[in-house]
Amino acid sequence: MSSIDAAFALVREGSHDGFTDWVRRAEPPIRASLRGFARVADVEAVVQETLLRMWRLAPTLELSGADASLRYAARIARNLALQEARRFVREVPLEGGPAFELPAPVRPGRDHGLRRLVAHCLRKLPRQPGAALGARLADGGDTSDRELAERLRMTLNTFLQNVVRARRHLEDCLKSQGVAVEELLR
Amino acid sequence: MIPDDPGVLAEEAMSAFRERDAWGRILPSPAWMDLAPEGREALFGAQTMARRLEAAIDGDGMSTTVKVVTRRARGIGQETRG
Repeated sequence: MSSIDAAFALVREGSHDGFTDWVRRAEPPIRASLRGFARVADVEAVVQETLLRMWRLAPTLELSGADASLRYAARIARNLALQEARRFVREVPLEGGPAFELPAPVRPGRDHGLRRLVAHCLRKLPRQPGAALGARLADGGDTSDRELAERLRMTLNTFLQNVVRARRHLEDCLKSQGVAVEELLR
Repeated sequence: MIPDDPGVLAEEAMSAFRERDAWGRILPSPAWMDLAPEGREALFGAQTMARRLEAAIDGDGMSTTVKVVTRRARGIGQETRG
C-alpha cells in the first residue's frame, strides 16, 4: 500500500490526523492536475471542495489500485472543474475538457533547505509588506482579506498592495539565495 | 469594486479564503471572476508557488489550503455506508 493510501485508510476510519496527512500529500498533485482548467475555473475553490468531499465520502469508498484515493480525488476535481467552467464561463467550448495529467503524490516535510531560506527572506521583508503577508500566512485562509486589513488598520487595497510587494521581495530574495523559483511551479 | 491594478486583483484571488453558500459549498473568488483569462493563467502558477512556499515555511508542512480544509473538515461529519 502506498503512503497516500495508508493515510487514506485512516481517513476512512474518521481520523482527522490521517486526513491532514492525506491532504498534505494529495493537494499539490490535485492542484497540478487542474492546470488545464486555470482559465475557466477557480482552481483554489475546486481543490478545496474536492478535498472536503473526500473527507465526507471516505467511509463509503471501496478503492483499489496504487494511489487509488488520489486518482479518485482527481476525478472528482476534474468533474467539479468542468461544472464550474460551464456555470461561469459559458462561452468557452469544453469538448471533453482540457488535457488532464495527474502527478505523483508528494512526501511532506522534505524541504528543510527551502524552509530555512524562506524564513530568512521573510525576516528581511519591509515592515508593512511583512505584516500583510504574515497576517495571511498566520491566518491560514479562514479570514477574508478585508478583515485582515482592518486588523492591521489598512484599507483593503493597501493590504493587497503590501502582499504583492512582499511576494516580489520574497521572490527576489529567494533568487538571490540561489533558489530556482521556476522549479517551485512544478 | 474592482481594483485598478491587476496584480492586486490577482492577489485577492491568491488567498485560500473562499466564501461558502448556504449548503457549505465553496464558492469561486469574486476577484478570480474579474480576472482576464491571461491573469487567471498567471494566477495558477503564482498560487502553485505560493502554496509550495507556505508548506515549506510551516512547521507541519501545511499550506494555507491544507490548513483551511483540515480545519473545515473538523466541523463536517462523514457519510456512512448503507
